[in-house]
Amino acid sequence: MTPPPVPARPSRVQFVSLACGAFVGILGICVLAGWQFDLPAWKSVLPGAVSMKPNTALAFVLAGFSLLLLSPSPVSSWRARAGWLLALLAALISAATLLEYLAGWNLALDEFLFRDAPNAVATGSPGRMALTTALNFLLLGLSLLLIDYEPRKGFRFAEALVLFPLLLSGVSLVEYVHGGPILLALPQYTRMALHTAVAFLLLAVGVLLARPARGFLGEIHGGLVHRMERRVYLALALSLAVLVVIGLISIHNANDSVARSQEVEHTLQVRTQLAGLLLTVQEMETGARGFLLTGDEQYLQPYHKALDEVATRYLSLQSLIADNPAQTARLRQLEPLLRARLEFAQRKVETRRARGFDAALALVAPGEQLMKSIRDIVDQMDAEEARLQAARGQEELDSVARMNLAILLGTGFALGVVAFAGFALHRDFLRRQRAEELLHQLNAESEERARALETANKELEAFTYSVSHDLRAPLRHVDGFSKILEEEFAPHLPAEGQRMIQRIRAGAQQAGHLVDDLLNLSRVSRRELKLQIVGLKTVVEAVVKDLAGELQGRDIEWRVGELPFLECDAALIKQVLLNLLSNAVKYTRPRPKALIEIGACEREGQPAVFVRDNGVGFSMKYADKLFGVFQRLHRAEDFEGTGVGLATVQRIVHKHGGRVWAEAELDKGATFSFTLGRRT
Amino acid sequence: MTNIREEEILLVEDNPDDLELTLHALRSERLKNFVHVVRDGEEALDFLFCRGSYSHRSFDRPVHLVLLDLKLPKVDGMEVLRALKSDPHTRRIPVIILTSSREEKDLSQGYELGANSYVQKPVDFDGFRAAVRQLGLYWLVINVPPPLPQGQ
Repeated sequence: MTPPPVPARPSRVQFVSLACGAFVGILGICVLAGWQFDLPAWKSVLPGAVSMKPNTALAFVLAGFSLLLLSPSPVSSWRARAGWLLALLAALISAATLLEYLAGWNLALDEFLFRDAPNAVATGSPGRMALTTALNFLLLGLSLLLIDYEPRKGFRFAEALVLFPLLLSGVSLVEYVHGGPILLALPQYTRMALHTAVAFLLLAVGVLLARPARGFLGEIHGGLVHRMERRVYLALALSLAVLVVIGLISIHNANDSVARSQEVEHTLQVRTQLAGLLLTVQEMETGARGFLLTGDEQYLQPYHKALDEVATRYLSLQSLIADNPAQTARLRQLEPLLRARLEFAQRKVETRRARGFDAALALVAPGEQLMKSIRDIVDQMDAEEARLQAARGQEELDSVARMNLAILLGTGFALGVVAFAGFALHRDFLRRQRAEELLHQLNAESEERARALETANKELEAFTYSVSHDLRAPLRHVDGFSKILEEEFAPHLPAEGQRMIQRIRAGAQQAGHLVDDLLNLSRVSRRELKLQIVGLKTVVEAVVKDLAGELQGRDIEWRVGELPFLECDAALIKQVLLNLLSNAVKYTRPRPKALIEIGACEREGQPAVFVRDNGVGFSMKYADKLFGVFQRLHRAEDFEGTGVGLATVQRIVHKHGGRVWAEAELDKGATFSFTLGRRT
Repeated sequence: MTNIREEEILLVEDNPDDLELTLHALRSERLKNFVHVVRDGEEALDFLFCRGSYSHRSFDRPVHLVLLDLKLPKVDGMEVLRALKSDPHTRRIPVIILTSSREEKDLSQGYELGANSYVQKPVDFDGFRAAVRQLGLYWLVINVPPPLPQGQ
């Protein structure tokens, strides 16, 4: 498993990834130090909060440095191996902890490094990392091991693996920010510490950003996903996050509401019991009084019943208000009074039975006093419970109001984000529309330009047509009539006159050649290339044959080497070779034995063809003028010509995307070479 | 050349200078007497289709050769060629385009319309004369013309 080569592009994003790794690693070391030197703030951050367990800290050190090693891409092999080893160790620690949780074993790992506090906060098993923490480490460890694994384009496995830790730690953080457990509070399990959640968040982000050019991030970053889509994705993610937060807050507030209404229910129970207690005492009093007046034992039945009930209600009240010290104190005050009241009633009943009505009646006064005290205390307690009920009812209302506010604000925010995304989309749409319009406009302009060009081309064609037809005609007439003059009136003309006629004819013919050559040049320019594979050797042989007329009386040695097959326009390449070879023939005329060599060589990786002669050559001073129209380096009486041939050669070669050049020395010969910019 | 009768060759030429030079060349090849000259496309069509001032002519005596210039007043050479080659009476007459132009457009359109030959008049009069001689020799002597259409 070697990491595939990824174009190295050190960016800010990767720097963030590295920073995440470094931070997490250092945090782990700090927490381990906190355990070593017993620094509560380093272990738990918040006073009284759950601590980061030693194994968690160790796994963070491993994972953080693993990310630090694996993040710079491409990874060298030793760094990759070291990074994978660290990630594997972290994953193993978490896997063992998970095993402890799931199988109920104790592998003696949890307090291997340090002993946990005997009564550690929110800790299920001393020293053991939270279940969620272990799960996170397993996933993050795997994501580090598979950091470069991309089964298909746009999907990096590590990106999928870090999503769950990202969510878990995010929820944990929300819980911390919110102040209480919402989702993840399973009392039997250890809670995730605050800095643990932060470290997971950073680690997950670090793994995500380690390969910004690949996976889904890569798609977003520079790939297929348009800048606009990025914004929409962001808006969606943001809305989703807001909805999750709203959901969490709603769950919490609903739980809260249920608890509050339970408390209200509780106060109601207390108040019922209080009222019942008072009533029972009064019932007892009434029963006792009935017996007192009548001596009828029948009245004692409710009295006895009430006596039992008082005890029951007292105990029930005692348990109900056990959580409220002030009420418990009042209930304690009530107890002797009640007891005294019961004793007094009992004494009265017994006195009535033993000594008759009058004696019993004499006992009334202290009983009234007691009853008043009892009623006062019960009233106090009831008032307290009423106050509590009102307060708890208000809290419930507040909680609902808070929930409503959260939903309202959150929904508003989400709506705002979506509206912004919609607005951005709309703006982008408008921008695209504008761009399209501009494109249309440009297209129209370029079409117009093309039309103008076409018109110009047509005009040019018409011009060359009339040149071809109308300019040649008078030249032909001049030559024709001169010839007739020469033939039919020669006897009447002096020798000088005949010479003049010769000059007239030569001039007309030269002008004719000029017109023909110019027409040829313009035809070459307008002609569309008809490309095919052409064997140059065959072409050269054909051209030499065509030149036969000019070769009469000449002694020329032809040396034709191996010539390449090239993709070109056969007719045009023949024109090139014809012009070059006829030049060679022409400029070797003063040589008793001419040598013309045609061969191929390589220039700048392309096949080049050269034509070399041992003719009169030219001075390289004028080399730059060589290919210009009407540029001649020789006098017309020495070498005839129109000065268009090499210009035509150059135009044809350029049309093929090639290059033509000449090397020469005066009186030593010249070499003309060309490439066609194409290879077969 | 005993079988060559009068009006065997139709020369369509508007330019008087060209006309004179062509006739001169034809004369020196002793072909001049068989040439009938028309000066524009319309007249050429009248002559060929025996109408207008040529209504006395008959299809029984078709010309043997048409020497056709392209740039002509009224009806241009290409139109004459088109009319000539699309009528069954005149379709078989060989047409030689004799012009100054060597534009590819003219060349291909000429052959497309059924021209039998395309000759660019050389500026050099000697060359021109040689061309005319060869043309006359080929088309009037060497070439075997088609038989007269049946029923005519």
